[in-house]
Amino acid sequence: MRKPDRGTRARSATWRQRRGVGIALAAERAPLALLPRWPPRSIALCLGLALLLLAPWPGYGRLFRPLFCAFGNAVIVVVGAGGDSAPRFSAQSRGGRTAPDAGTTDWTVWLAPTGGDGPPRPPLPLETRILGYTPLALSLALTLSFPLSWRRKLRMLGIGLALVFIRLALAIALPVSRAFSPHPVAPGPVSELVWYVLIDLPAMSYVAPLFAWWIAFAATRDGSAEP
Amino acid sequence: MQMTHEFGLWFVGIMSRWSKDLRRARLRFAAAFIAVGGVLLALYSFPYAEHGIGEGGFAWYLGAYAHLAGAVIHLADPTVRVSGAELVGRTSLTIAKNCDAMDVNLLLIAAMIAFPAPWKRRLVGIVAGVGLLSVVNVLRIVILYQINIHAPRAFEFIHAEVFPLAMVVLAVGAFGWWSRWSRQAELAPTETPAHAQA
Repeated sequence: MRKPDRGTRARSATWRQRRGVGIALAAERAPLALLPRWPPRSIALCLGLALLLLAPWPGYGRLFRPLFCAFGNAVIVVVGAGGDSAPRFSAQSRGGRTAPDAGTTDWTVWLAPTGGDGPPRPPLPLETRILGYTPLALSLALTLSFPLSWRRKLRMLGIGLALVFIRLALAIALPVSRAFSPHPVAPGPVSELVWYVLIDLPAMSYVAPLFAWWIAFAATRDGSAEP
Repeated sequence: MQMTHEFGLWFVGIMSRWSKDLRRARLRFAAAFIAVGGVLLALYSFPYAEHGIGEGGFAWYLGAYAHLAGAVIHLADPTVRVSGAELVGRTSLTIAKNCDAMDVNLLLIAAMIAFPAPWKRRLVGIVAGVGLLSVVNVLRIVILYQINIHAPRAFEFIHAEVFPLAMVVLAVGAFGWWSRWSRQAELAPTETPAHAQA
């Protein structure tokens, strides 16, 4: 089919012809539909799932704490953050107390050195809900609610969760390394900036899973030929 | 000459396929979003010197934000006074660096700049989007002030979890609406009939 050109439009006699050529020219330069259409039913499902997972149910925190501690300790060991102090996360503070304590909740874990010759330090409390749980819950809600094949959903879930876990690993490794190690994994200003931009900003725990979902959505395709 | 012509055709073919590949376009959008958003957030979050020009500017800006929120709160609570970035009345609130929802604003700006659209439409989207988010953020501060008076136990949950999620959902909705409007404007025929007849 011959492509319409501006000369054709100029030569067209009636406004109907000119309009037809105008539409054809617009279609030629049409931008790609980057954003997928999200059906209202899926939006409702996503909001419902997010509310269900993020509601302050009692006991959620106590279930999540040991998982966070296992992941955090694995990150510290793999990255080598903390040096000789060998800091470790624990669901219980040194005195064996769990929540409720002054300023702590069901979601609080404690970070304390377990080795080294340095002066004894009190365990540091860390809230894991917004830092760790919320991005995972939102990743799950976003991926499960979008109308795609289950096979693609699983692939997207794998990619999305991997990206969210990478952010969480940075959120653990950078401050632990800075606080406990004589040779931090990143110099002070760099780790401070990465911390502020990726972790500390309040919106990031909500934007990070959305962005991870987008990367997973863009990187996968329905059908067996594509990765 | 023939070689040059064939190379030209091949190059145009490659470029055409690249620009029309939706998956690559989506990943390119993500990369541009990271680059622009990273720079904007780094400029905002940079640990400026405590008594430098940067922190001084932020203190002035947060004070102005507190005065704006204080003026709205004053309608319901005439006892409220603004001191620096602090609102003091029946309860007290301090407008800190992240209370201005600037992170959400900057991410919305980054998404609009990364999205393929003419600069004119980008500017319209940025002005409208940032304006909407700023108005909603002032309302957020007003609501938080009232919550701190009437239901202080719920303050932390609503402040740290409900409102950040709501602001992000609002920004995503604004971006989705703007991108659809921008695309439809692009698709619309440029010429309208001067004297159309039925």
